[in-house]
Amino acid sequence: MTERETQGAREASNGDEIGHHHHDETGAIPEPERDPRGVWGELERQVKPYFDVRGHTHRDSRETLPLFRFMTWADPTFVPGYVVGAQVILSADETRLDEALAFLREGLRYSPNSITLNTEYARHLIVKRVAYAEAESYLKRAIQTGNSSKPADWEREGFQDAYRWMVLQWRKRGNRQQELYWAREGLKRFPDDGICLRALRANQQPVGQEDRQPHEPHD
Amino acid sequence: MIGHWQVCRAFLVTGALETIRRKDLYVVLILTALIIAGGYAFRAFGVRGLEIFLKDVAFTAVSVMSTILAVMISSRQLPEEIQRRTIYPLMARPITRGQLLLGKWATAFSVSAFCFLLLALVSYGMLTLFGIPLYPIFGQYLLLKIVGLGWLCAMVIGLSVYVTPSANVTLCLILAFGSGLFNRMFLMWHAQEGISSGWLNLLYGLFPHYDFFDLSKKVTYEWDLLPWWVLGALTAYALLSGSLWLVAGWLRFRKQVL
Repeated sequence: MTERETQGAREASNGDEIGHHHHDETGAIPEPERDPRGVWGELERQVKPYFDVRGHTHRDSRETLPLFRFMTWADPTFVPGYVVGAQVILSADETRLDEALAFLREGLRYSPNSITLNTEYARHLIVKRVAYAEAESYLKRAIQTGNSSKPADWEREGFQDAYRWMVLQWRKRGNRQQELYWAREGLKRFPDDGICLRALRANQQPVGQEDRQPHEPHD
Repeated sequence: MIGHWQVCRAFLVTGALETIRRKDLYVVLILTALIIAGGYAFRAFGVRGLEIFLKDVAFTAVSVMSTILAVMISSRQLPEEIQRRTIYPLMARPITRGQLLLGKWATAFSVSAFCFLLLALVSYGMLTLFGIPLYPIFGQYLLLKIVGLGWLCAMVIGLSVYVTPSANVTLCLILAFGSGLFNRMFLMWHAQEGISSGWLNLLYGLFPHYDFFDLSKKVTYEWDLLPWWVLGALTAYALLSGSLWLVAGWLRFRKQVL
């Protein structure tokens, strides 16, 4: 194997951390000592781009970014493209938050009522920017959209996450009334949700009486 | 009795004319060129590493198209002669059925190899036009693929006397494109059930290995030249396995009532 091949092969492109080593892996074509095929195996290793995968490293996942740019240009309403693309921007460099948020805002411009995009945008604001008040408005929009129309199957996870992040951000803000209110609201839609249940139990609140929920309390 | 070479040459001329008349090659050529040009359009979106992608697209298209062409060309050699009844004047000449089968294989192989070389040449030209160089392994790729096409044509011709033309095309395309998958399945079977390596190697040898004749991934990723013993071993495999297919076809064809 030449130096070029070794470099190309060992840096298998993947979303893992750069420089992360994998010591005990095997590829589709087994190594000679694991291959029962004898000369057949040797022939396959010669004609295919085979390399010993043990101890390989991965390339920078940001190399895939142009593809996310391409897919969102081709279809600006392709929500998963924006969600995963923003995550890829941040995966290798946490300081590129503004770029990731701008990418998500672009998605929101084309799909303002996307539950997943609103929730994802709010999640970044909560986790990375601690901008709870701003995140709340996006979460409210996600929840309102989910309640006013039946969410598509692929948006249900984002809908449930919207309630979870709403509960968590109110907990962080120290507003127990709001935290409990949104936990009960969440349980109306998702009765088994762990985060909402835990919020009620941690505050010694009864579970299963969500229908008697009062109106949203004031901040 | 007319010599093998004369028979093959006569069939070759008619086979080549037939292929040109049918225009399959033109369709495939245009399709391949469009696929490669379509791949080049990705450059407009700033995609890095486009050279690798384009080469992958080009050689995948060449491999798929040349395989389909080879199967289509080979599968119609004998059945069409029988269907059109042109086999009777052929058999009235002083040639044996074995020579007829061999001549048909030589025709299918030569025409398929010519089509493949033309497709590869067009791809090479387009890649050069896009400023993407190819390395010496490209020569080995051409050589090994031609050997593989010879083997494939032998299998299709051999099977064409046993099954109907449409079944033959389907079966051969499955065996050609699925050969890599069958190989993986044997390995998984060995890993799961623990069958002995002796049985594994025997069964493995009986199954077709058309995927072994495809170096396109190595060309795409710019690997060094293969050791020549590999080409020798695969040529020996193609000769042995291909001959067995033709002999199997001949065993049936020599007694077949036409």
